[in-house]
Amino acid sequence: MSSVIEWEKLWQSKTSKTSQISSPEYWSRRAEDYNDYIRTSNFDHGYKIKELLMSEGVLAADMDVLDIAAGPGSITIPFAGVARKVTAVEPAVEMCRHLRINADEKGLKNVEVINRRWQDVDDAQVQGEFDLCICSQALWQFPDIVRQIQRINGASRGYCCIAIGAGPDSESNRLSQMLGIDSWNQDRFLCFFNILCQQEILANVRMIDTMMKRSVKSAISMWELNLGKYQEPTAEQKDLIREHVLSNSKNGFYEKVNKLAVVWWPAKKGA
Amino acid sequence: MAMETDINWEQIWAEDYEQYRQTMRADSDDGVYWSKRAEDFSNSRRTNDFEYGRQVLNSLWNRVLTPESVVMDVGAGPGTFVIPFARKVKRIDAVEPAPGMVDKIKENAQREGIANFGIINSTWQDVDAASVSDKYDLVISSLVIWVFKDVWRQLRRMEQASKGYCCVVTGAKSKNEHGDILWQQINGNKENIWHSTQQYPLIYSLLYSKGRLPNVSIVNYTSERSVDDKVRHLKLCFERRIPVTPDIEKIIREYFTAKSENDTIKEPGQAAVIWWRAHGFENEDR
Repeated sequence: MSSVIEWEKLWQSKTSKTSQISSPEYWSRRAEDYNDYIRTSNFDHGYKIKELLMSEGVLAADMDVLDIAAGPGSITIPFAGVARKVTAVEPAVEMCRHLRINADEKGLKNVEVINRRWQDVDDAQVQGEFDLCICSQALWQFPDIVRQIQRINGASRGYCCIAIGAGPDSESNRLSQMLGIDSWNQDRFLCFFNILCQQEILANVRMIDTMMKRSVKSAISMWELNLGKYQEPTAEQKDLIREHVLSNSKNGFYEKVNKLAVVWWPAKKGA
Repeated sequence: MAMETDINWEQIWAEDYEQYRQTMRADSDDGVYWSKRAEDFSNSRRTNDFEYGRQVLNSLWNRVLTPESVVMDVGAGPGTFVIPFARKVKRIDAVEPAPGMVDKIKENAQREGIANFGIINSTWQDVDAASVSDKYDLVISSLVIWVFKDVWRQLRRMEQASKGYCCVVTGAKSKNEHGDILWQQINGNKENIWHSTQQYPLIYSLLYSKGRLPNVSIVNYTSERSVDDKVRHLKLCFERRIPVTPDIEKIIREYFTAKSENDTIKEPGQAAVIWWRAHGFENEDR
């Protein structure tokens, strides 16, 4: 029975190791390639999510937004162009540095960067402070997902939104498998969806196509650093990565269309 | 391989279906039941000018539906979608096996001055899929999939009939408040005579596990029925399981009379509108 599948435990077991080894220091090392991806892709998924949430009345000019695990500003930058203020919580020092540069370049004055893990943010200080709390492509950093969803709910007086990769990604999965990385992509979304249902959170879901475009150098760095979390990449593995990246690249850019599930719901009162 | 990819959602569905049917008498017939339910169900769906159907339409409008769309409604009931959809789209064909419901569609359409619809008086299982292959821009179904034990086969047939999208609409709340309270009051047990699992995550998970990428809109609506309607509704529902004596009917009537305002029972509802592209996904043959 779906009701007795222990989704929460499954989530915890699948994410506890990867979240632990994906430390703020790891993300600081990843900041350069990740920033290259976001900038080269022209903040593609952030702008698409912005458009979607605006058309659904979930994001508007008079809103205060909290961006959880903001990275180099994938969400913060597009959203700050429309919202009253975006508060970006980001644990990696180097990501924060890129985020500030990106905001300055766009002339955005309504971005506050808080260099902290979301788990370390004081709930009392953020209780009901935001019209929209969003966490994009970072939920797997939280093995205690139900607690974090409740905290996100608590910080919002309006809506909560989670963006999470979805659907089959056979090409990347194949490489992950060859490298011995346990990539938990396709089923991560289903697990999250069922956890929301078990929490009696009725959410809207939109599946959108997003473009990941990054330099070959950035793509190779991404794969090598990702593998480096588990082991020192061997020469053979480096060849595999290079081969995969080059065979998916055009004119010096690694390009891939990704499916992203954008999930949002009205924050529960009193949560 | 990850544990959850091994989950057989079709089997879970079939087990849930069996458990649900086991609460019913063996001679309980869906067609007869729904013909008898036509009156109260029609009144429920007509609430606030077909609010339920309009909300579903709104959630699909400009995303899936345009004024040029041709739609098929599988298990059309009293015209839940036929009436509001026909006002906006080019044409809608209603598949509906229960004669009482077909009469209600015609009655509601006549009252609303609607003519751009067709009726296929048949169960969905008996519709020749080849004859409707790729004929519709949207094939939609509300509630009806719960009568399919072989739900995946029937959903695949819906996809075959569509050249665009498919949509399943399902109640998003796990409880049937009035029904649960009354069933317990009458039978003194907490046995759930509705579905044992939450239907919404189950159908969503099944679709996703088959490689579909379903979107969801949560819609709110109101259902209003008279006390007589609600008594008839619960009486018929319970009669599929136990003999409903005059004493039991009295309990049902007293319950709804106490809950009513101006002879009306108002029930707020929430439904999940689940829609997906019928073709063009990875691993389409699955």
